[in-house]
Amino acid sequence: MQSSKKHSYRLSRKKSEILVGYGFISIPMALFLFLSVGIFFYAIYISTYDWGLIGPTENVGLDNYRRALSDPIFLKAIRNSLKYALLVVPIQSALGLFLALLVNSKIKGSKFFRSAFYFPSIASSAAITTLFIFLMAPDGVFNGMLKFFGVDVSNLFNQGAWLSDSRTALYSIIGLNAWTTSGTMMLFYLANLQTVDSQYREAAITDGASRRQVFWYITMPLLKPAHFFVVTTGMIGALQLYDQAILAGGADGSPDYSLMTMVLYIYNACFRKFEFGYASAIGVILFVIIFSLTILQKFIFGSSAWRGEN
Amino acid sequence: MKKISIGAGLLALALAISVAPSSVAADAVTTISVSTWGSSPSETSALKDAVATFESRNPTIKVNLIVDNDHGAQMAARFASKTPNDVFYLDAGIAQDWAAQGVLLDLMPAITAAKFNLTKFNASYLKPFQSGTKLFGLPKDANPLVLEGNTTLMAAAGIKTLPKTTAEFAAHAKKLMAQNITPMCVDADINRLGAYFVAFGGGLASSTNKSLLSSATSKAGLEWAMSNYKSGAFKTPAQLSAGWAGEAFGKAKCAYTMEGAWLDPYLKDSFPDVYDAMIKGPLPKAKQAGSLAFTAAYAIGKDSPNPKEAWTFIEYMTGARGMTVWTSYGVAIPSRSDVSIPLGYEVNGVVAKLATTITTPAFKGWGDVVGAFNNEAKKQIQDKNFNAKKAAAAIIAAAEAAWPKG
Repeated sequence: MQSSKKHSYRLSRKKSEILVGYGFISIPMALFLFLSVGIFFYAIYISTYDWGLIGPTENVGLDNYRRALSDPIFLKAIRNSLKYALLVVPIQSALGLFLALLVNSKIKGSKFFRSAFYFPSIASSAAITTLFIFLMAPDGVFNGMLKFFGVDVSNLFNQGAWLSDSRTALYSIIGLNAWTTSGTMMLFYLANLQTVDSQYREAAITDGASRRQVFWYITMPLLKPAHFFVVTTGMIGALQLYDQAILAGGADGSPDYSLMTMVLYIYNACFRKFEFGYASAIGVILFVIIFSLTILQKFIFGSSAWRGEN
Repeated sequence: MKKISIGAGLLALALAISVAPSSVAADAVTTISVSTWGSSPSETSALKDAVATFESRNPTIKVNLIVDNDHGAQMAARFASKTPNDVFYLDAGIAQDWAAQGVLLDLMPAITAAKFNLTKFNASYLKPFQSGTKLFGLPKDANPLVLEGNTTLMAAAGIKTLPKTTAEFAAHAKKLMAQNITPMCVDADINRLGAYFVAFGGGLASSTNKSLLSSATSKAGLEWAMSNYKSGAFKTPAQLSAGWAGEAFGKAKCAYTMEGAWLDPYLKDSFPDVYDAMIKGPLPKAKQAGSLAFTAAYAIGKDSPNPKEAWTFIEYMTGARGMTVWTSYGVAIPSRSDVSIPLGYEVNGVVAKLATTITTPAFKGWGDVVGAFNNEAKKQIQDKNFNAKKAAAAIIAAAEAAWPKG
């Protein structure tokens, strides 16, 4: 009798815990459903309309999507965004991993280096891009250094204006962002590194493994959840490149649309042409690209990385 | 009991004090919001002073001046949420795009009721804001491109006067480059190079908004400009490590530039020595003297909350009295013929009155043409060994491909 009472008490307590749990998540979930999922479906709805500043004027079906996929500037924006993401993500990840390994080792002043490497990540991107524009100007520090080493670029790359040459502008922005985001990537790797049990490494060293073998066969596989997180968040962020592109290349992403990205294209469609339906269609296409690449990464890294297991 | 009644009395007194003045004020004073862009602290300060004169003459209207960082984007958000400002700046280049969206108020009924005289405005400054019988903005001022020269750098090359013709400019360029001085800083932008289309006898768009870019004369103007980029007589601001041509000129990185009256307050604020050494004149003449002029208007939104007070503001600011105050600060010249050009801006005024000074085209889609032209022009000049003729042809082809169909 007493044991049945205890059992029912436990059940009701469990039920109330579940209810409290759901209660706590209900508000953020409602906000998520409304502000993220709901807005996404609303964007799909808008994308089927000719939608200007005063609202919808005509249902155009899939015309906005057809128009986007036949617009050479938008196709260039997709190419630029993908090229940027495919180059910046491996560079920032590799740099982040290198810095994490460096500050995780027992070198003198590792705390100072940790802060120093992270510093560019906390600076405002507008401020750091403006600074970068000065550094990469024809009479900037970068060209000064090249000149010091005997490389004269005054006859190359738009007379040394790296950000104003269609062949170098995007690569310059890749360099800028690899530098500024590597600190954040370092933190993600560092967090993962500090959870790795050192006995695996010690056992491998005892068995005669070299440092290189320990890194490639022990450390790298154990960092799989960090790789997945860093690459996925890096890719999502990279495909949404906007502020550095507009600051360096203006709203037209010039020269030769070399800095036109998908998000900058959306900005132009929205705020310069007031074509909200068309801009929403581009937004949906961007979502499809990001979502597909995220799923692809899940398959590449395996489901254990997805679940955060080593 | 006594405490309660004292408390109630104080509460009643507080309520009376807080309610009474505000209800009187609400009846008497209307606050209108005016959103603008600001190109320099001097310009914003001049506008504040001009607005203060309006407020002193219209004590029932207060103006809340808002200087937008990204005026176009911020106005788009306000239009979409049906909360536009009472009055706002309307750039000639986008006026037709905004009008086509149906968000601007037609000013003609107010103009007719107030018997406001439109004949005092230069017709070409009104045109960008007209659509049929409707008028969506009144031009607040005008600004033609003129040639500015740095006399210190000119003297270093033995030059005393500004070049009057393209041939003279070529001679000056040779002398300046011999002294390692960049002759001219000008961006590869249709809103600058277009002036040479006009000087060579061509233009940008016909009265029916058809392209004039590929006419032989326009092409000749662009080829001349491109050959100057090739020879080093022209350099872009980026090639001179500057954000815009005025900055390069202010930093004495070039002897000449071609800007409007907005350059003067900027130089006065940031580079006073160069401002003191500056002389101005018309752009070098080719077949004819020519320039491009820019204008912007004051406009009211269809959903603006106080259209009556907004019109009172526009009527004053674009009237002879208000425009005299505003242009006296030297940031622009008047768009009205009955307002005199301020001292020091005589050249700008003379250029503005030239029959061959044209306003930049204003039709729906002009922004795409500008984008295509500028992107291609910057691409063409990035290699030092480009062919000026081929470059000009490629730029014109790109701009015409972006020209709105129909």
